[in-house]
Order: sequence, then structure tokens, then C-alpha cells
Amino acid sequence: MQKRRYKVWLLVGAAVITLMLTFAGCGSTGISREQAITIATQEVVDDGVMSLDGRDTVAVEEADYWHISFPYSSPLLRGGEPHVWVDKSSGNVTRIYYTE
Amino acid sequence: MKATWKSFIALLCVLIVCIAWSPAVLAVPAVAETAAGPVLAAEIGPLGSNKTAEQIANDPVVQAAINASWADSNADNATTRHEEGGWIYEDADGNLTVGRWPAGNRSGINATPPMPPVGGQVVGEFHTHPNWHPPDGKDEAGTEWKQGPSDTDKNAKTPGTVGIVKDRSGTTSY
Repeated sequence: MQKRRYKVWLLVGAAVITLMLTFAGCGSTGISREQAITIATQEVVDDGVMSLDGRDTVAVEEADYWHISFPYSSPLLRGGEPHVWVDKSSGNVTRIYYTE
Repeated sequence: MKATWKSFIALLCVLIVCIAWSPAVLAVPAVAETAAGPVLAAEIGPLGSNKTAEQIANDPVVQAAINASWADSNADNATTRHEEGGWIYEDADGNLTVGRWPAGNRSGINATPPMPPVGGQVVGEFHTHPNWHPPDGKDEAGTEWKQGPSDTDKNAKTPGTVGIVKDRSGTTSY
């Protein structure tokens, strides 16, 4: 009887671990890439320091936050771009800075 | 019964370890980092030039142009500060000259199409960054500016040429 329970627990544990590992990469971050871009875009618009017209969008996932930036890609344009950090679990903007 | 509890505790430990590590291990990889990181000036070798990036950056003609650009940037005036910059050319005899760009805006500048001297070539470019303030990069309005070339700057620079940015702390090559 004990041996059987042991096996049942083992199976349950294996199933939970498998499910967790399966969804860890796509669901556990809370805020998706697209949501982070939306939040960052609104933050830059509200901040009003730079226009987003004609810019690229780059999203890099860090351990705790999304790093969203909006550079230009033109051989004749030099200048800065907005960078926004969006917390992956809460969606709060934790930092906004600009390059020149 | 005891064995069941032991198994349960063991599984619980495994779960805790998995919860702690799985997001870091299985995190979605970075989508894109379009620009390469900054490199030291000494590592750059301009295409077709016998000069190193360091020699170009320290050339008196280039230094004078960078200093003049900085003065023209009005960095100390919060309302009129803007970017200035230009191309660095090398003529057929190996002499360096500079072709300035029209004045830019507060955090950007448009380069004009390069016009190197006959037989010469573009070996670099420079521009100013008047917004960054020491020690934390924040300007009078509290906006945070980061030092060094932007991703836009790095995207635009011709590979094999040297880029130089000038700010309050000095110059940075990329």
C-alpha cells in the first residue's frame, strides 16, 4: 500500500514539474513582450521628451524586466532613443532614460 | 505512511527548486539587440587608412573640430543646447580634414551625405552629446540621459570607421 502511494506521489510530482517547466517560458513572466511594448510606448508619449515617429522597437527580456528601446536605423541619422524598463510581474515602469 | 510523507517532502523540495530556477533557465530569449556594443578605439581599424582609430581621434585637426562643435552646442544653456558634428575625411596624402554637419536638435543630428576630398575617404565621424550631466546623467528637468553612443549612433556608423562622441566628461570612441 505504501509503495503504491509512493508511486502515485511520484507521478503527481513529475506531472506538476513537467507542466511548470512547459509553461515557465511563456506564461510565468506575467507581462508579455507585446504588453511591455504597449506600456513603454505610452510612457514615452506621456513623458514627451522624444517623438516615436519612424523609430524601430527593440524588446530585450532581462531577468526581472523588459527593456524596451526605440532606436532609428538610418545611415544619416544620429541621436538618442528612449529606453524603458517594464517590470515583468507588475507591469510598472521602473526606469526611463534617454540616449543622445 | 512515513515513506509517503518523505516522498511528499522530497517532491516539495524539488518543486521549490524548480520554481526558483525555471523562469531564469527557460526565459524567452532576447528578441533583438540590433547594435553591437561599444568597442575600444584601439580595436577599430578604419578601412583603407593607415591610421588607427586612436590616432584619428587624437589628431589636432579633429580635436579642434570637436572642441569647436562642443562650443557651438551651447551645452550650458538648457533651452538652446543641441547636437553638432561632422565627418572626418582623410585625403590622398593622409591628412585629416573635417566636414561639419548642419546644427542638430537637442538629442539628434542629421548627417549630410559625405563629400570626401578627391582621392580621399571617410575615416570617421563625431558629434556632441550636450544633455548628460554628471554625476547621475540627469539634466535640469530631471530627465535621465545615458552616456556614450546610442543604438541609433551605432546603427548609423559605417563599419570600419571611427565614431566619436563628446560630452561633459570628455570623448568616447565607438
